[in-house]
Amino acid sequence: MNEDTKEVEILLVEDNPTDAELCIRALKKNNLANKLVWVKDGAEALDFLFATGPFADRDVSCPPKVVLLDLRLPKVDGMEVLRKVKADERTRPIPVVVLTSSKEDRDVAESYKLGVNSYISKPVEFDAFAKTVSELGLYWLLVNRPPVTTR
Amino acid sequence: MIVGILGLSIALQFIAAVMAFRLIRLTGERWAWGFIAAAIMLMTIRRSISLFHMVVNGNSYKADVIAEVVALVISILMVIGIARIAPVFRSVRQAKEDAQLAEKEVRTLKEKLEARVTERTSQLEAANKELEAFSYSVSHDLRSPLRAIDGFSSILLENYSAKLDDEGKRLLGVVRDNTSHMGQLIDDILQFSRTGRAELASVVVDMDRLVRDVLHELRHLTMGSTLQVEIGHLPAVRGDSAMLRQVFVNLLTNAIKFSRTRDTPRIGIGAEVKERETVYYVKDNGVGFDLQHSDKMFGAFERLNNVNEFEGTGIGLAIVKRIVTRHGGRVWAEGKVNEGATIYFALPNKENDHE
Repeated sequence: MNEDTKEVEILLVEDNPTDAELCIRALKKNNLANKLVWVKDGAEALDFLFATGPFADRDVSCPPKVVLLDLRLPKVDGMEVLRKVKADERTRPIPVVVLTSSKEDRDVAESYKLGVNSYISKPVEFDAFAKTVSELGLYWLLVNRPPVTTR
Repeated sequence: MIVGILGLSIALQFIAAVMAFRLIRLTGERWAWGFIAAAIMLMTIRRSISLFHMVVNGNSYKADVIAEVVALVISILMVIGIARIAPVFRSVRQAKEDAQLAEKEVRTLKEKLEARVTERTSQLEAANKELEAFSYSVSHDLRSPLRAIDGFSSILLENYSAKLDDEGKRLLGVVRDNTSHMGQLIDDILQFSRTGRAELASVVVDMDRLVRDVLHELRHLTMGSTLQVEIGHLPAVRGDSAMLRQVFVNLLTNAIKFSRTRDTPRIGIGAEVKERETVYYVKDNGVGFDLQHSDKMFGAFERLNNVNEFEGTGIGLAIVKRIVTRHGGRVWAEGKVNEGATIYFALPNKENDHE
C-alpha cells in the first residue's frame, strides 16, 4: 500500500470502483496515472494527507500535486475532508479539485467557501468524462505550477 | 298611626340603603353607590331622630302627617327603583363575564391553531428536505451507474472492436445512445423539480438584454444556418431573472430546433403591453403543430414530434409553464402543421400593484 507514496502526483479519493477505474483509465491514456494513489473513503484520504494511520511513514511535506475529491464518501464525507485540508497550515496549499456527480448549487457554493481550487461535475457520457479528466490531469500536473514544497 | 308610617319609612329606607350598598359589589362602582347608600342612611337617621322625638316628647311634637306620607312614598319608590336597577347591572355583569369567557376561548383556539400551523409547517419543511435529499441522491447516485454503462461500452468498442462485427458495434451504439438520453432525462427531471421548489426572486428584468444574451449563448445551435432573428420591443418586467432566462432558453432552443429544416428559418420575438399583463411571444416558421394537441404541449415529457426527427426529452415547455405560472402568468400556443408555431406567455404588470 505504501510503495511509492513518497512521490505521489495525484491522490484520487473515490468510493465507487467503476468511477475510479474509468477515471484512472482516462488518466492512463495520457500517461498521467503513473504516480497515482487511489483511496476509497474520506478517512483514508485524511490519513494519507496528514500521514497518519496506515500512511504514518509518509512525509507530510511532500504532498500530491493535486487531490481529486469526490463529495459523497463513506466514513468521512468529502466536504469534511476539504474542510480539514483547508483548515490546516500544512495541507492548505495542496490544490484540491472536487470531482463529483453532484450539480447541486449548494455543493458548489459550499466547496468554494471552504477554499476548493476547482469544482468539476462529472459528465454522464464517457467521452466527455474521459476528456474532462484528461484535461484536468494535464492542467494540474503539467500546466499548473504546484506550491513550492519544503523538501 | 303616624308612628307606624314613620317606622315603615325608616325600615324601607334602611332596606334601600342596604340594597344600594350591595350594588357596590355587583357594579364595582364603589363611590357612586357608596354615596347613595350613605345619603339614604342619613335620611334614615334623620327619620329615626324624628321618631325618637315623637315617642319621647309625645304629643308635644307636632307631626306633619302629609310630609310623613310623602316620605313613606319616597321610601317605597326608592326601594322599588333600587330593586329594579339591580337586574340591569346583573345582566351587564353577566354579559361582561360571557365576553371574557368567549375571549378566553378565542385565545385558546388561536393558540391551538398556531400550534397546528407550526406543526404543519415543520412537517412541510421536513417533506421538502426529504424531497431535496431525494433529488440530491438522484442526481448523484443515478449518474454514476449510467457513466459506468456508457464508459464500459465505450471501452468494449475501443479495445475489442476487432472481435465485434458491425451488428455488435451497432448494438453497443444503441446502448450508449440510450444512456446519454437517460442522462439528459435525469438532468431535466432535476431541473423541473428545482423550478418548482426554488424561491422566486423579484427584480426588474431587462427582457431585451436577456433575450440577446440567450441568443448569444445559443449561437452554437445556429452556426452555419441562415436563420433570421427579429427582435421587437421587449419591455422590462418584474420577476426572477434566472428563471425568466430559462424560459427564453427553452423557447428559443425549440424555435431554432423546429425551424432548422426550413430553407430560411425565421424566428420572431416580441411583446405587447396590455392593461393588466404583458404578453411576450416567440414565433418560428418551423414544422408547427396540430392545434388540437396544444394542451399536451405543456405537460412534462409530452412530445408532439418523433424523437428521431427532433432531439429532446419533452420537458422544455413544461418548465416554461411552471416558471410562468409561478410568476402569476399564463402560457399558450398557436400554430398549424407545417406553418410554424408561436408560444405566448403573459406576465402580470406588477408596477401598478400596491405591494
